[in-house]
Amino acid sequence: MRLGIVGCGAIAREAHLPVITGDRRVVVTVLCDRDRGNATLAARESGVGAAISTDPVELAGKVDAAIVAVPPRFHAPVAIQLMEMGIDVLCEKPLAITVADGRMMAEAAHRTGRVLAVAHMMRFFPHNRWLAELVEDGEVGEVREVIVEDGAPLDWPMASNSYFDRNATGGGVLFDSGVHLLDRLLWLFGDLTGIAYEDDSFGGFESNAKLTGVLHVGGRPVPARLEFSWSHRLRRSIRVVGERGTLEASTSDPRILTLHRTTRGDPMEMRIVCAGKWDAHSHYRAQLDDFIGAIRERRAPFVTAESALRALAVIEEAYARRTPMAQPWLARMGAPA
Amino acid sequence: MKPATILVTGATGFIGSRLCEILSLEHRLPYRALVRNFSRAARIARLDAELVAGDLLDAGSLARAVEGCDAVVNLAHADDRTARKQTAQLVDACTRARVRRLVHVSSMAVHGPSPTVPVVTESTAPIARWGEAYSDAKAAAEAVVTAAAKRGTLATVILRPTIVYGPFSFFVTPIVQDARQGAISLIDGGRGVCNAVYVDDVCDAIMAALARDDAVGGAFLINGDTRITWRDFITTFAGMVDGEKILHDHSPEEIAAHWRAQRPRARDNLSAAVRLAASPSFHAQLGTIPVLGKLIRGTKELVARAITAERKMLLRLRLQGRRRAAVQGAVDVPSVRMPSEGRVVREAYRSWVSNDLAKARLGWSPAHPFELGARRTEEWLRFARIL
Repeated sequence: MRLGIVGCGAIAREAHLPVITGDRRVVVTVLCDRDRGNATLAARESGVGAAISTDPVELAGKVDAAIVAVPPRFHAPVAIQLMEMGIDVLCEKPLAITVADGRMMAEAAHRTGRVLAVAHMMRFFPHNRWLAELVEDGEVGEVREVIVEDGAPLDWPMASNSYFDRNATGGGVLFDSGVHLLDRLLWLFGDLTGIAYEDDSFGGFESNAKLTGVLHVGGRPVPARLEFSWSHRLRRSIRVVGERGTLEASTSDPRILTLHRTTRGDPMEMRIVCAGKWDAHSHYRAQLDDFIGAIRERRAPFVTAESALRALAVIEEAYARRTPMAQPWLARMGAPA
Repeated sequence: MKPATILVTGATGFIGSRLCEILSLEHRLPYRALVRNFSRAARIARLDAELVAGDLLDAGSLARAVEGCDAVVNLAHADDRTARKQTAQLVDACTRARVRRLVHVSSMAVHGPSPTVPVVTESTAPIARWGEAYSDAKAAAEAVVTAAAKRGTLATVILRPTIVYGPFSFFVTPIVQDARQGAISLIDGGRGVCNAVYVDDVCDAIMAALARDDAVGGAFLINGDTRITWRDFITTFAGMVDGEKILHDHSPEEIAAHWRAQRPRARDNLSAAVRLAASPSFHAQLGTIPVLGKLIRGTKELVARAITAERKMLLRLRLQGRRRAAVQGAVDVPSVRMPSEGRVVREAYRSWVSNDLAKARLGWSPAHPFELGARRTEEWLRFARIL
């Protein structure tokens, strides 16, 4: 299968290319980036002998499928353009800037009969299914709360300023990082209603975000709290807190699900191994497998555009309901007037 | 002057980020933040600010960034080695762009790591080369600005802050992290003078340096008003962590001896080379080159024939003994990390730094007594879940 990559920034170079170059079913024929230097660097780093281009139009006739890893604002126009050229697409997350753009992409996939997969690679984590099933089986009893946290000082190798450019992206930590865990949460436990949201932005991009709402687990309403940070460390996990313990799926170890419980007055931790081997590239490998499978079998991919729209809809609603987050040290009570 | 547009260099740093917040949220002044590495820009990206890509060592990007700005605040200090060059490039760019004022944020370090006067003032403490990398780099950078001011090509104000603390401060976070591990680490009983100034007060001094025309050509020490020791500073932040803590007091001599022992010696290079030469995996790798493989096997056979079984056993035991000692050394981590030599330089300070000249000429005074500054910092520590 001939594959093109449109957008050769950090995610393409660090995550996609190492997996693709190790897969004999695909050969990268075109590396495309508005900045030719990025495409050349990607070719050099990965050892791929692909054609270098600066315009997606040049993929015509040279590729069967493409990975779209341009800044989020360009996901919709680029992916739609490629699908209309007869090219199947694996699109980076978040699917689009708005739900409306995302819908247009899903409609374009139907109209053109192309595969449109979304790179929510965390959906491939082995512990996801176990988390949902153990909760459903009542392992922690009645669910009281779901807590999602993900935070670390931002340290992504940025090839450009597109993270903080309104012409390139649609938001800060909630939109860019939070979407991963939000997407998994909605996929595992259904819709989030009664949304309230606060963040620390002042007309720019939030670097701390807190989203609350209500999930329905086991037919009962359960409060959910999601917190994301680009400035400091948070747990990086989904925790389902029940009357008889807490199940935790930590992003740092997708193989393991941890059951925290108090036994005879003492805390106990049980590690449930959900997969044998799993390394930092395994979910990207699983994602590529699924994308290739969907193309060969002309079936829906594991992560469809429609399913990815749910997280976008929540993010859109959250931003619409935004309230300022308390940052008390910013107020200058000691300063002269 | 009332600046129309300000360029802030070092905008993603600790003081720079706070200055951008104050410019956006309080003064509502138009400014441009120069960003070298966007992955560090999350804090200022919260603001509705103009972020421009650039590097002080790249004259082209600097010229583009400074274009249209009538004032520049220089907070950049990438590293000691290039500090002078980057300041020279900035001064050059400012001069070409006819910038009306450059506020250069230097450091009290220009007066040396250990002044001998009890009270440091701008006129009583000399500026020299002290043989301490940071102090010398700051002095060299400042000299470039002073020279431009003397030539009359640029209107400059130099600020020399003392120990700047507050939210995001790297002076505070390690203290809290130690305390969370149950440790308080002092140097020489914490007797050194801590000239602490709250970050907002430094930003106010920068704003005053931009506004006050009679400050031009001046250099001002920027310190807080509360006289405290390093013991006060450290125990205040450590005290924010609940639970028992053990106080570790290190003498400067003990710290110097520790770091001296860490430095690699010629003998270490030799023993590392011997270890490599004796390691079986190295032989295996080397042996994959056919001609060398043959040679190694031949030599081994020769040695085996030449030495007795008893000697062979002795050699093996010695090698194993060393390996075991190396492993034990690696796991024997002290319960509190040894203070860095940089900490010794800071915390053995014996002089109080006067802010009288800044008060008189800038019309500025610090609004945060230490207790208030510490409280504000605590609010952030809780927000950032460090507490």
